[in-house]
Amino acid sequence: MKPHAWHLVIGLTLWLAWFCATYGGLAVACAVVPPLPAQGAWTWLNASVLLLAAVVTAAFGVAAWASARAQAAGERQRFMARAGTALYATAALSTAVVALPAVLLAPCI
Amino acid sequence: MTEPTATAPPRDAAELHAEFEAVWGNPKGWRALSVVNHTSIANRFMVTGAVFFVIAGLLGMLIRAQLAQPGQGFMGAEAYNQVFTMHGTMMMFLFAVPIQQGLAAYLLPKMLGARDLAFPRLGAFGYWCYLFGGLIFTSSLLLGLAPNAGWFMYTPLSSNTYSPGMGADFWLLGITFIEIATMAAAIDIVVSILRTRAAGMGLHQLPIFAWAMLITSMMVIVGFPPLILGSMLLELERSAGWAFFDPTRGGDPILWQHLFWLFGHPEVYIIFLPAAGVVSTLVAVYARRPLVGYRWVVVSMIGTGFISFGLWVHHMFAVGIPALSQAFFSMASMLVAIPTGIQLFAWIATLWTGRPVWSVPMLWIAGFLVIFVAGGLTGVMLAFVPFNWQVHDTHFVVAHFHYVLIGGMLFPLIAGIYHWLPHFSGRLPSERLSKVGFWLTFIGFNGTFLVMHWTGLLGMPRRVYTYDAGLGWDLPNLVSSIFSFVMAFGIATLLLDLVLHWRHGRQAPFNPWQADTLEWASGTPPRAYNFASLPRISTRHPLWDMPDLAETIATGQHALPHAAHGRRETLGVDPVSGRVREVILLPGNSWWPLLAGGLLALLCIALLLKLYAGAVVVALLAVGVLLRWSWENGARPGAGADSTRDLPQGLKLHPHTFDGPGLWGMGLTMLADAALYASLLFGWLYLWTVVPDGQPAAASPLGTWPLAAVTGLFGAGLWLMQSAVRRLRAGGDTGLHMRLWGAAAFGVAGCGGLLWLLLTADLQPELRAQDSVLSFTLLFLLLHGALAAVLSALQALRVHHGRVGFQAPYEPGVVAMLWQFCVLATGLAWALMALLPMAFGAVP
Repeated sequence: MKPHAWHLVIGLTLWLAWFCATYGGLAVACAVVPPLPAQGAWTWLNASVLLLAAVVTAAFGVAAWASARAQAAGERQRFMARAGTALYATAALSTAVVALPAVLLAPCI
Repeated sequence: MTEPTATAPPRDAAELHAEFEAVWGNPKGWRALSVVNHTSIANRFMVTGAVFFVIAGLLGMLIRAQLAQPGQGFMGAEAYNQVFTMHGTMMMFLFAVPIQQGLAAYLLPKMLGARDLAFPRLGAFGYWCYLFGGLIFTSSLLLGLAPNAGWFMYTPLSSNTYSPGMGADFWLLGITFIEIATMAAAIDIVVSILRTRAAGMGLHQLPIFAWAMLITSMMVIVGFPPLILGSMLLELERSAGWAFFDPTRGGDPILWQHLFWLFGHPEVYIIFLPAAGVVSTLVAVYARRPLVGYRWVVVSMIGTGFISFGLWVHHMFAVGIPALSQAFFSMASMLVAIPTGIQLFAWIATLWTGRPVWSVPMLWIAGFLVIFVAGGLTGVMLAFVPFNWQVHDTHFVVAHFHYVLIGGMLFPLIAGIYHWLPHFSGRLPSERLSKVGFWLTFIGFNGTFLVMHWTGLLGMPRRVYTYDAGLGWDLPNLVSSIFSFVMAFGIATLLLDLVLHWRHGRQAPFNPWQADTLEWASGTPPRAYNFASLPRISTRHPLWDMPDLAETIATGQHALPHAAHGRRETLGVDPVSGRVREVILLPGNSWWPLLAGGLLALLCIALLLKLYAGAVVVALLAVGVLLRWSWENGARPGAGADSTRDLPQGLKLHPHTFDGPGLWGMGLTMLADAALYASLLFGWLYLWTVVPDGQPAAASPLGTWPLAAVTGLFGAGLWLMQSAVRRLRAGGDTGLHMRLWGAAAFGVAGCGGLLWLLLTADLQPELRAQDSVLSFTLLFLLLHGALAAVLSALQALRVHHGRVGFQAPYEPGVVAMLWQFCVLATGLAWALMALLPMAFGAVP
């Protein structure tokens, strides 16, 4: 991955898109096909939330790893590469942490 | 290409100053109203913001006087409601954001090695909008017509039913008007930071305050539009009877809360991040060493900026959202504390490893650290849903956000004012008065608000104008009120010190704090043009690494050391590397900003008074003035020969390139527009999902194909605009005006289609919320299509007048961006409002 200023914003922009899609998708799913409250957290909806979060976290992790391994020529590129790594890692951590309650909580009540 | 910033032979500094002053100097007397120079405009912003702060502070004192004792009859419920609404609104919209933007507008060009901001006239226009909007809004207090529904104007309390009269209209129209200034300043700041820096100053070498303002301004550009949209919708509901938030007509009051807090929570960080930038700047100066973890601080600020957009529902935990959704926001609210914590550790490490000098600005920084950490900790407490429910709408929340906002913004701002005071005035403040001011404010603040946590935990709700004795609230309220007066004396002492120092302060030596940033090389007080020559900067600490910089700048030994040509100009650089790309031509003083701002103020007043015919006339006049103003921008016919005089070899003036600041300005404007439109589409989908029986009919009242046809017409206009740009890029301009006229014609045809839809579709916005959203969307698209058509026609006229063409190819690319937005927005409306209901809508 070539260090570039875009990497300072791509990760967390996608995180925001994931966040809104998860929150909005959950609302739509609860309005259209809500799982039974008695199922608690063991529902297809929670599984979907967690699966998507796992995929997105992994993607951000890969991006962070690629950014960390980028060949940086000069001080500017080094700055971009390291900051990009930290921000992709932030996006990965944020995704995992925000999705974590889906392990415990029923989705629609 | 020759290095455009090569060292030039020294010239006599006084002679050079006279040469620049002839071009950049500010006129005196009534002509001073036409000044657009960033230093003058920023000073006006800061002074005006300070005046609004004093008024809002006095309103706060009235609140504390009323609550000092139970059963107090000092104010009635109505007066109290108006006072707390105005206090909160003025502090947030008229003080906290504008004064920091003012400080940024003052400092950034000087820190970045530029002569002005990228859009000086836009800055002046923003100021007039701010001043007039603020005056209109504040006048509601004197007229007894002030809004009384709280600073977040929740519906249905702010609807016509529960808030009859003009109070809520003052809020909705006045604040939207003021937001023009905020948006204008944010766009100006982003483009200036990215495009008008010293040669060689890469993104990794930006002053940390510039990073803070870059992130903050991007947040303003994306975060303010949801509130602007919400205000427009609520005003339409109040004045035209349309339904957006009324559940009896298919609306939902919670939609307002979403739109408000989509803006409102990022707003907290919009207020905090500039202050954090000030702290990072000052801590390094007074610790006598570079900021520890510069890159980590930048990463933290970017992280904070993004994550802050994922917190908005934590203000709405009490409205009945499912637990899992609340938990998402709860976790995000805790997460955002991490980047803020990283910044705190960076500041502590800087002080720990440096050689700190204890001074008045450092007193305020120390106060900030104590107060802000406490506010941050109660913020993490409030992120827990059960605790949040327990203290929701109590004085605990009031105490928390005063700790965050006063600790996180006011203390660093005052630290910054004391730090840069010698820069503003060339004088030093009184050591004794400034210390007395700090201690009174610090003790008064904590005495007021620390105790208020207790009042809140005892269950006292916010926004009650009085309370009964014997509830356990008497003593803490009395303590809070007494200490609030101590704080007021502290602020008064501070203001006295600031006023007195202009006359009695000692003359400040050059760079009195031995700071590292470039603004101290621009003279104290600064000259209108900042720098007589523009140095190459390849370090984060120019004045530490190049101590003779001020002298070599003043004697014209760097780039663009001439002004005899009569142009106002600064260097335009690559946003990432800082490589010089062109010379940016800056506009001079003008009456257009004042005239346009004045007309918009009249429009605001006409709408308040519901004089709609007059409002239409004034709006047309305002559009005419703005178009006339735009006519003066860019290249001037016949300026070809003169436009290259004294330019560094290989560089052009930006109107003769394809990449001037206007392109960036338009791009950011479209980003703001996209945020507003996305909020509107969110509203459409939200009502569809949440409102019982809110599913739209499968057969859209807009029909299946009309919006597709309009998209096609706008697409044809876009194609012509882009072919005009391609032709210019290829080096020719034959047939250019025909393409531009053709684009305008397609725009008119598209607008005709939208108008036909508006008039013939079976839409009843007074009866159904969905129809209100559809009607608003059509109006939105119509407005944009009309603007695109008019601007293309104007471009064609400019081709006729020799202002656009092969020699000046830059403007059609700017207008083409608006066309791209029109096509995308219309296509999205077609997909979501005509096609999607076909697939998932209700079938009768």
